[in-house]
Amino acid sequence: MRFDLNDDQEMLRQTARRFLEKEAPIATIRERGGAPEGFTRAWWSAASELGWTSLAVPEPLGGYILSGHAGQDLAVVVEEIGRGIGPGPFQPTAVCLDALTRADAPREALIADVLAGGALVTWAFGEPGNTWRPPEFGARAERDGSDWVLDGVKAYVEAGAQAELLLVTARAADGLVQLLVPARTVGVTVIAGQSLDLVRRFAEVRFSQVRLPADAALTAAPADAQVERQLQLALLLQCAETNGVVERAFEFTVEYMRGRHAFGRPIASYQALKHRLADMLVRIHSCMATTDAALDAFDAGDPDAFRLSRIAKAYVATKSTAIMGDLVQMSGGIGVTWDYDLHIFERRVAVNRAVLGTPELHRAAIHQLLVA
Amino acid sequence: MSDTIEPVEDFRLRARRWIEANLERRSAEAENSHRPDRDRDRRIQTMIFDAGFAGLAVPRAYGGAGLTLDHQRVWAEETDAYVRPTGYMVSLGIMLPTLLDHGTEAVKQRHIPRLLRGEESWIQLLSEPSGGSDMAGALTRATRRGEAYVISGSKMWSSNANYADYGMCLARVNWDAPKHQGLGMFCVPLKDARVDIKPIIPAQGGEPHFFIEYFDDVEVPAEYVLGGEGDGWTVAQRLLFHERSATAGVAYGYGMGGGESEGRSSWRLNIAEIARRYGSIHAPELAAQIADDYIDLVVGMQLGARINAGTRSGKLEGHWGSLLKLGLGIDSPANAETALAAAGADGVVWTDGNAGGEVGLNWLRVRGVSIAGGSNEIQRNIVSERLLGLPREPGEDIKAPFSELMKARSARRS
Repeated sequence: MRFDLNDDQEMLRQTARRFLEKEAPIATIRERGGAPEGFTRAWWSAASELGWTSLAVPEPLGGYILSGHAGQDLAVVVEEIGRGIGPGPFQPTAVCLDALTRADAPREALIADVLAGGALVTWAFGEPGNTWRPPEFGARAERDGSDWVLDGVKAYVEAGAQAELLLVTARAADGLVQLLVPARTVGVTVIAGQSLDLVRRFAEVRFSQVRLPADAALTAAPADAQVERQLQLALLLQCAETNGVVERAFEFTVEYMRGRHAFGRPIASYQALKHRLADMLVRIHSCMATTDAALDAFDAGDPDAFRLSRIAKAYVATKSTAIMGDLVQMSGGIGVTWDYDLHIFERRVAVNRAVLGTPELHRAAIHQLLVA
Repeated sequence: MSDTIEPVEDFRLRARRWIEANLERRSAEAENSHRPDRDRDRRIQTMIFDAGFAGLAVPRAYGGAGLTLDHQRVWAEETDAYVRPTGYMVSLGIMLPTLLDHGTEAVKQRHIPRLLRGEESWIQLLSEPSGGSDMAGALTRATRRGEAYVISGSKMWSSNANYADYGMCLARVNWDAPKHQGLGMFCVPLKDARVDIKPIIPAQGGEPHFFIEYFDDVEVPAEYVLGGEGDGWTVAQRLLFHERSATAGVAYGYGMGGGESEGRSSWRLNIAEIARRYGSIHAPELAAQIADDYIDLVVGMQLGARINAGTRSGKLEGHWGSLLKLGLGIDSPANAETALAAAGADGVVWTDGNAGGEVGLNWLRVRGVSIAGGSNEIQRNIVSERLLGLPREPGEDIKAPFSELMKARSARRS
């Protein structure tokens, strides 16, 4: 959470928090954990009606401009989703909407349907074997007359088994292309998967000689810059979500330590423990600082957003995992039980650590910049 | 002069015009220097005072500009890229606001204008040879003699005491009161013949930054006592609050986050630059460590900007400066170790005379940041107790008369 939210953003934050507390308390998250789908379409429609995803869309296309800094505004919502381990494909929806609004011909009807929580579109970006760098992608799109023919495999596709539409990033002759592919197209195979997170499902999607019309491509020109923009937005929303998860877990762990007595006094009074909490607080605020700084660069269209988004992911993903481990240690035995909520928070942090590339991968990108 | 305060953005433009015309842009050399340049600082501070930009939030009655802390913040922002009189940071950022809070009217009238003009420099005298962190355990003695107090004892770890004019000295006036209640805060004249100031040579050698002072019945007039005779601990708390606020870049200070960039940070080496110079930037076994160190540097500055924004907007208290100090106290020694790794043997063995050894000497020097100005452990107490509101460890030393604590201590030793 940044300290300079304006009144509208503060209102957005409070509304999101109340909605999540009421409609998706942790008990509900536990129940959904056993269900085949991590969220219901009714839930997602209700969340969409609050206007969460419209923050990613300009007003002429049916969106809503809150502060004029779309990245910041989306981060306010996703941080609250993190605090509540909320279900629903918020981040891939926001990223796909960004792509749809920047298409050669913006897909107005589809955008309206997505904003209403009707159609579900998700981003098929990464590939099996932790492949997150587009130059290493195997998915290829070739022209056949005016058609596109798509081959390849996409992995770690959030809500991939529930989405009606897939935004597929593939390599083409002269750069990257982004194709909008209905999930039921002939030659598309969706393999539903699971994840450590209780309510977040990912799919693997295979494309075999999938034939698509010319207008399946969002832009005629190579999409490399747009793909980079989507990756930045996805990484930063993921970081903001992780920050929310960690903040909430830290809060209830500190409360637990205030109330838990050992050897005659609250365990939160022992320097051996509270000094570790102080170190964690430094890291928590550092995670928020680096995420917000990168979001500001993203919103300003600053080319430095490349560097700052990788720094944020490398830092947040590493520190958040370490903090969660420490919070388990602070909680003692209860921290490793199913009935205590902490593992639900750990699960999302661990998934966010790896999806869209590990911190190790992004750190390597930073090293490349230093060497250059 | 009308009573309306100049709007902050008007002030910004006026300040900017003056700064561009009168101050010097910071060079790489000046940025990397840890050594105070007294003559330069004095000259700049006098210029700033004469132009009416000194003590922006200080009442006009004491020689200030009678504006607000917002104007002071804008000043800190606008001067960020210029050579600033940083040697007066303690005087103007910590001692002056403490004097404003607790000084007698006569002392404020006499000394605040001198502080603002750079004619006088004040320091804090808190730690002692017998205890650095436990400042309330002070053994320096203040004895009432007529209209004055007489100070005897010693203080330690005082920055730049060699050219200071006054020091705020925590001394014990009542040995039968509990530890925290028997203290007074005295403004001690340091040019007095009964004050002996000795340098503490740092582990890396070179110029001393810290000093030790011996007081042999130094006389302090009663009007130079801050607060009441037994209010020393309250005043000390206020002083430390101002120190943390200055660290957080709020109020009168330039801030720890402010004025630092990737190329210049007084407590960190630029690891990419070091690795390039020592030929290890491509070493695969160091790649992760070098990148992480660089990431920590960037994030540390982002944290400074975040906390500064929070304190300046009033959403965070000045105590949040401790969070920055703790972050710096953890990350800077780690940076020094990474530099040792990146430089290898060439960081600790050299043939180029005084120019060599930067990396090894930096490693010796930097540990100071996790100890000086409140050790990491003290900052962890402040963060956990004041920012998180967690309970203190129970102490045996809160209620008993100090004299009994002393007796118990000697009994344990014998």
